[in-house]
Amino acid sequence: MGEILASLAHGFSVSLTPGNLLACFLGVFVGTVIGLLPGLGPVATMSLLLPITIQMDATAAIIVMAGVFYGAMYSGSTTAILLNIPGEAASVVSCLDGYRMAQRGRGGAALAIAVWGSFVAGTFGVVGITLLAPPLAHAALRFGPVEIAAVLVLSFVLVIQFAEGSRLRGAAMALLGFLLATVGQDPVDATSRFDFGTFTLTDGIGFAPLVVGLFGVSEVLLNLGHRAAPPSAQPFTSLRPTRDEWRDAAPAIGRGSVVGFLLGILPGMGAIVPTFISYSLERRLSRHPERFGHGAVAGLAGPEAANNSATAGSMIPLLTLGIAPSAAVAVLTAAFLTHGVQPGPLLVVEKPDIFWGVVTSMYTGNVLLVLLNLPLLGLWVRLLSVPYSYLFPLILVLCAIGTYSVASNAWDVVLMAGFGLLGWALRRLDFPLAPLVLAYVLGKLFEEALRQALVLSRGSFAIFVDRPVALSLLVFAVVLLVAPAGRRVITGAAAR
Amino acid sequence: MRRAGLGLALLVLAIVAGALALRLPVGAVTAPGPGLFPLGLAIALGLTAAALVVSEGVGDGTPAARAADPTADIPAAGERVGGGAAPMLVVAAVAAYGLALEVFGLVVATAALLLVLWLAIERFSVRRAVAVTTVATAVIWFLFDYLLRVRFPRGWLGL
Repeated sequence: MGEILASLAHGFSVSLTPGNLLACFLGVFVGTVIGLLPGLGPVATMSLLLPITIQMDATAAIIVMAGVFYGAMYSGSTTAILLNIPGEAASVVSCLDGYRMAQRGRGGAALAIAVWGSFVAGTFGVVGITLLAPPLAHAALRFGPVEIAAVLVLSFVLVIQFAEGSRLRGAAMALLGFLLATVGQDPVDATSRFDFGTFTLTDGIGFAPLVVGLFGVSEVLLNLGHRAAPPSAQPFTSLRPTRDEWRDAAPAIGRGSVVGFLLGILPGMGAIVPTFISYSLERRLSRHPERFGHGAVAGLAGPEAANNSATAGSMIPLLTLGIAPSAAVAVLTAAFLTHGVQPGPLLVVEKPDIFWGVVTSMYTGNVLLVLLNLPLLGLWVRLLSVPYSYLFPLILVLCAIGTYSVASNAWDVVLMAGFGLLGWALRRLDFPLAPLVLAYVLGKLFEEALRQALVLSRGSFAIFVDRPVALSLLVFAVVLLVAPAGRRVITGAAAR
Repeated sequence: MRRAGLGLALLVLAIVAGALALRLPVGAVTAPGPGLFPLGLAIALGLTAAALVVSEGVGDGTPAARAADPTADIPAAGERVGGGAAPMLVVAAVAAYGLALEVFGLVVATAALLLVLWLAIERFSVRRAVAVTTVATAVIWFLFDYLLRVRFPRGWLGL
């Protein structure tokens, strides 16, 4: 412990120099702005900034890139809560209850809970990196394609189980999401599938057109008929959460921090799976599960915390093993390599300035994010007092520009419009969107993991039984699936 | 009934996807090809969609089912703005905006979209629509083109 404290002190002496502090502020500021814009996520932004950071000192450059990464995660929930438009992938879950809180006039409180939950979880994650990085990284290495496929099966079961509406509709949406994920190149041998020879679909259906369309555009379409004050412009009663809201949020933030951190370490997870699992967990544990999807505080607080602690967790494989568990961390890896720094087990020994400088800058970055986001809450809230008749065309332009800016492809905007119509129809008919989005985002990873597992086992599904971790996860998934039916049978028998 | 209709659409999609997947190398479970996973998904989706059609289609005729139908208030196509026509119009306008961005550039395309939406959907007066469009387009240009340097095609007028 003494050694860790000494290392932290050294790290702060590096990260709190004026140059590195400025770099941290620049990173979190850019990340915050980018996180607000639907479509333009942290990966694209970090890629754009990479050439610029070549001119900078190695430590400062990596601090900037890391700041963009977790800054975007922090602010991505703002548009999700206020406008039902996720700023980035992991903010999708914030739309489910955060937006409903805004519709009830509790948007300010929702934003405040998101900011403080992110701060607590982000700090928890950085403490986790400090104390647990090497052993956790080695444990994560044991997760191969079999275990990854099993985790994903559990995630899908959880989401379908707790999606609004019937499970049959949830399952249909998940399968549709999987099918949409197969468009483009096969993840194993890059064979083109379902792209009809078009350039737009060569790399598959983009995340931005699908998610911005399904959530953002469909929300506008649903509100078109409202002639009275639109739901999202109800006067906000206060920016501060009430005592009851904090009482609901606090334990959810704690649980979300742990869930997000542990899952964020795993290869391929990113932040979206932890947020969905956290949401499902909170709904499971809640005494009022019927409130979820209608503005449940825990439904926002838990996933927001999971989102940010997963971001910190995903840095562990990079810093300790040199392995990038997600696309954003892969760009961060490029930042290291561009400056001649090899991330991995020797980083802490050979370049302690960089290792501890980056880790301690994350503590500082979390504080800066709170200082940056809290004063802006009132501004965001005031935006919604603008009459919806003025607001909705601007929202549509924002969605279109954000989607276009990802790949500068006009057909992405056309796709976004189409998905907007699909999302409008699905929501009117009470089909849940969460399973569709989760399946779409993770479809390629799941297919890759499943196919690799089958190649390893020479086509035998018994490999899922032979691996204890995978077996445990799958048994849990089966129990979740059959438990409600079993409960009904037992209740029926008891009644007779 | 409308949920059953969507179920039917999903069933058709599953059949088409399955047919397209069969054109790809399917391989075997020991060495899965690119077509195997989509084929499996298409079959699963087809079965699920069929179950949906049956479960949502049955009971449609009873008064209680009709009263409970959340789709009952969906306006028919062609109703006044705010009904079924408005979403179609908005979607068409946004799709056209995407294509117009590359031909006319950010400023002209954005101004055109905003004008159409404020005039046709919100029924603003021409004067009000033009005024608001001018201000909004200027702010959008400043924010995205000037400040954030997001790359847009310049269009015919170089804007």
